[in-house]
Amino acid sequence: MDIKELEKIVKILKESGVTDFELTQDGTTIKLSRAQLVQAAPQVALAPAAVTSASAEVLPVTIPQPEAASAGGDEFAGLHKVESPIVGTFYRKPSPDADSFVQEGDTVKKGDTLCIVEAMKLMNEIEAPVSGKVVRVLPGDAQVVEFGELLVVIDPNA
Amino acid sequence: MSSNPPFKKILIANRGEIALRIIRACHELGIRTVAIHSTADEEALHVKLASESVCIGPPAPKESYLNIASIMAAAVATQADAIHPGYGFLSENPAFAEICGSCGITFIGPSVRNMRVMGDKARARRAADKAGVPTIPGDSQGYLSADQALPVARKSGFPVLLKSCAGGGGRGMKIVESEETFHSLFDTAQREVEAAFGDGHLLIEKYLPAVRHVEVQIAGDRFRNVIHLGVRDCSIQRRYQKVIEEALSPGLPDELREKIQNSAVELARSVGYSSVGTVEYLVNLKANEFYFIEMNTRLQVEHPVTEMITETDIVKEQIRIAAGEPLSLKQSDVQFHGHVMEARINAENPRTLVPSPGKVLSYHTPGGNGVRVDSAVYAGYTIQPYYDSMIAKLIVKAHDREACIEKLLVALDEFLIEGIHTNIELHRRILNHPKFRSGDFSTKFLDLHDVFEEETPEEEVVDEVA
Repeated sequence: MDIKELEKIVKILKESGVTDFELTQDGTTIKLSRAQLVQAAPQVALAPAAVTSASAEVLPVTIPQPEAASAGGDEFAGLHKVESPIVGTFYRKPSPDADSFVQEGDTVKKGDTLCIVEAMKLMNEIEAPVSGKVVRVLPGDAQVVEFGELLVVIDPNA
Repeated sequence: MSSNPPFKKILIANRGEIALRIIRACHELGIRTVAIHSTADEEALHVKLASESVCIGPPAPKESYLNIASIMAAAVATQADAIHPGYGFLSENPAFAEICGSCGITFIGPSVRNMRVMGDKARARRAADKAGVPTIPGDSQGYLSADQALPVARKSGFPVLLKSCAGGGGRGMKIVESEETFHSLFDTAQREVEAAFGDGHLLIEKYLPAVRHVEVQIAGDRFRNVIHLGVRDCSIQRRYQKVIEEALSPGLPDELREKIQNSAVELARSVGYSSVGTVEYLVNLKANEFYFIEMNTRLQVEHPVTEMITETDIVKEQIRIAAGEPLSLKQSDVQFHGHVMEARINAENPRTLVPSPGKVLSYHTPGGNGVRVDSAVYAGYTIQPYYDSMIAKLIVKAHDREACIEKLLVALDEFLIEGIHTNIELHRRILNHPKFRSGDFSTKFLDLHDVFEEETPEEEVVDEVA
């Protein structure tokens, strides 16, 4: 088999959508296979001894491969992510009757208060680390947030 | 047992195998659980199996598992009505217990006062003296002058041990065999200690040569009932870290064991202790003497040994006690069945002790009759470098000690862990060692016997068994 024939075969394979191909000719074997995005499924399921059977989760024994498809890549790539520095309760407003600190679409300056995370009755004001446009505010009002949880996304170039 | 769960929701302020142990006990009692974790533990098993989980900080323990503010915020946010601290971390931190109390959250452990007394070596010693529990002859004062120290040495009886008050690690520690060499050794020790720690104060203690480390598991409730659940022998230690624990203590005569057990109950009762705890002793079998060293006011790593030999659940009992329920057992209900041994499996090089974190590629645990594994590891899990290296506890029970050793060896052979180093080979060497088998060992066993160099006559042992 010469290189021209090989090129033809590869071209045909590419266009056809075939992923695995094997050919033996004149004592030479050629194997071609195209890489795919494989989503590894959990191999063994473990049912937890959970108290509330309402949402019995199935737990994988092996770590599943990162599900690239579901995240669709990083939605906020290139933007500034403001994460919670503590565990607590997220508040969008300074008080229940007041307006929200910021809405999506607002322009903020560095240092402006974006929200409050309350822990043990202490109100921690979260300030904008950069100036820009508020692209997203994620947690709902009065939602419990974890350390590192994404709170606000700012576009510094807007 | 009450039909109402003792608590609605418990937050477990810990990680790894003990967090899993507590979660299981809670779920069995119908209690919901909150797992807390650092960012390094996102894939941890305790996080997956709890009813809820909260990320409380970055990997470093100071910023996560020791971060009281963060943990309390998580407890309040999830409306937990109690916190179980496990062992290590905040389990013996009276300030943490106090903060729980002021937030209206039950700390699953003894009172703040109990923790403060037992956490201070001098105060604990005084409590033991008051309760009539023998303590190591000596006192808790530091001496700068050999002349002042000599009467204490005479009172304790030679040989005595000179220890630094300030630092640790054995620097400046000297054994003085008799009065003749006391002054010169004291001066030398003092110079060394002054140079090492900038403080020349020395403690005088009776030197105990070949001793066993024997501890008693106790449980007390709010109604002043206190019982013991027998002894554990934890003499097989390396650099003060326990390696193998067993029950009952081989070669410990019943009469002496009963004295030790009763003294532990007496101590707990005298301080009004209500929770589970462990009283630790050094025992000189030859002289038939025992000495209190300290009390741990928490659940202990090796609690499964006692659970298996007495057929009880110490964690459930601890939770019930914290909820104000009386003990579910009387002393007369406590019985010992067969012999139990536990091997602590660490992610480390068995010879050098260098930790071996990393991804566990394959993981298969032994099982079968009388085999228990407490572990939070699974195939594909990555062992983090930030936390201690113990990854599993393998506990076996058999009808006697010999059968127990054989069962543990077989179970260790079946334990497959690939991708990291473990100390399984160290356990094999210890279990096959003739001195371990015959019960001729003290806390110095691993110092005296380099189990990797010495011949472990496996063939001979097999012949004996056959």
